[in-house]
Amino acid sequence: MVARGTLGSTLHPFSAPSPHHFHHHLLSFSAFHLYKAFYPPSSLPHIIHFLKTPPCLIMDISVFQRQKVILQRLHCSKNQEDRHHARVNLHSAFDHHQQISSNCWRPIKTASSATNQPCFSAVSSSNNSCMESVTIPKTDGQCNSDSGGTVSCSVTKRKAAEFSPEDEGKGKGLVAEEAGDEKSEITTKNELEFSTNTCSKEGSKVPKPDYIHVRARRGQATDSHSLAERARREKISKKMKCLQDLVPSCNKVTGKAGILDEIINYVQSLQKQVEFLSMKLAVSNPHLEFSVDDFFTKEMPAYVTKTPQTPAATEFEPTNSACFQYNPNRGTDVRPNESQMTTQDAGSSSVPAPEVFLDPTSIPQFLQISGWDSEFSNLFNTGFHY
Amino acid sequence: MQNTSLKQEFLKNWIKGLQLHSSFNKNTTIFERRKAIKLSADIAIASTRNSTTRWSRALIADASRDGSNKTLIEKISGREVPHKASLGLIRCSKRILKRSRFARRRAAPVAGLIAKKLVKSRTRALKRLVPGGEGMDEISLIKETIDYIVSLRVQVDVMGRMATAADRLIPFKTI
Repeated sequence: MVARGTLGSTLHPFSAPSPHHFHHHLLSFSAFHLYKAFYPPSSLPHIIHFLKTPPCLIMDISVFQRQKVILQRLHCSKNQEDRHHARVNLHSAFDHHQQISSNCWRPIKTASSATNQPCFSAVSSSNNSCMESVTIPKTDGQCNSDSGGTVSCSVTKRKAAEFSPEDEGKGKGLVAEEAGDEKSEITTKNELEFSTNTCSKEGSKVPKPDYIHVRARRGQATDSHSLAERARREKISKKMKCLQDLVPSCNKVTGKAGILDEIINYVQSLQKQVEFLSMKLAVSNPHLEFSVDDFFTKEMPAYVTKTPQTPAATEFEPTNSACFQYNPNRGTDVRPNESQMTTQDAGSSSVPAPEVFLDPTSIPQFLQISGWDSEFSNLFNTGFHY
Repeated sequence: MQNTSLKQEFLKNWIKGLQLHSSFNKNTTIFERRKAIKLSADIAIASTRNSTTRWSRALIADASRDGSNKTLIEKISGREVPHKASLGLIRCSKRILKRSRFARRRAAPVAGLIAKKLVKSRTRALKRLVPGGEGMDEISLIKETIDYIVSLRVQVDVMGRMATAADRLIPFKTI
């Protein structure tokens, strides 16, 4: 006890020698050691101030309770001071950082939830790990006050702005650039559309084309070209429809290739008919004299003017085309029919043909005279190839 | 009907050409006669268009390439024979067309390739059929084809009537 008392007196010269006091000082001594173990030596004046408090306040409590009270008070004083310090530092910063200093748990969580930043969550985790040490929020507050709330926010925003295009650019190639290109293209497109619209308004006859679906890919032609291409295609399809109406039996066919096939066949058949008719005329007029010119000039206009009314004209073409596609025998079979038809026409116009020449027996004679067969077969062997 | 005037004009031109031809050479073979008839018919149908269409100009230019037909053409159409300069122009435009065609589209979709090839081959065939169609682009080719078909119909109709009329006349002569 004496040794203890001496030790206590040497350590604490201001303490009283009463056993109560001694006990109290012993307690304070152990508390001091505890405090020393936990806190840095810079907080020694706090302990001294605490130990100067009258011992009557902490008289009738057990040792552990006293120790607990001492530690609590120490911690509270420290906390209050830290709070004050942080308030000074964080005055311009955002509100939740003030709350951080007051109590460590909630505000940081709210902060992390409010601004989804990874750095804040890290801070909160560090705060969680050493909750007792109050220095951590202080430093946190300092660093945050240094950067400033708004500044950090703007920084993160800028970072995000930098990050997302970079990521996209690294991920998808040149998407960002492409997007920019597309945007510019769209704007130019709009301008072009506007200009075309104004042009059409000025022209007031040109139908307004619909360019909504125009979409130029990267590397393709620019906008004016694609628009021209679209207009060209529309024109072609319109003309193709016209041609389809012109050519018989072309309405059933679908597809551009099929229509073109039909057109080619029709043009070929017409050209062959011309050839065949010229051949026929060459055969029938051995000297090309045309001594009957007056007859033709008189009669043919009458024919020509008559043609729309007579139904024979419609019959005329199919029979002719039929005789082109097959052998000459078929053509000779058809001929009496034709001659009958022409007599119908001619009977109304000027010269009544004698009935003898409508006889089919006259045809073999005619063929023998002109050597018709060989040339006819030659005509049909030379086809068009593509 | 607009075709009647066309038919009359064609007939007039054609008969003019035939008369010219018969006045030039009397004794001819059947092939020569056929050629002369066809040539005069072609020039007549081309001259009905007054060289407003490309196919008619090409037809007259093709006919005038022989040299011996120049007088015939000039008489029928009543106009100067076009020079070779126009042909050169057409060839030049064709070259440009070809180059532009090769310059375009590198990666076409695989599915449409066959259809495109078919259409291309058909278009080439049609270009060969229509006179002067080699140097045309697609729109003008279709326009010219429409016009050419209309005039070919006229030609065929009139020539067919002529042939039937001549048919009736031959036995009459031989007898």
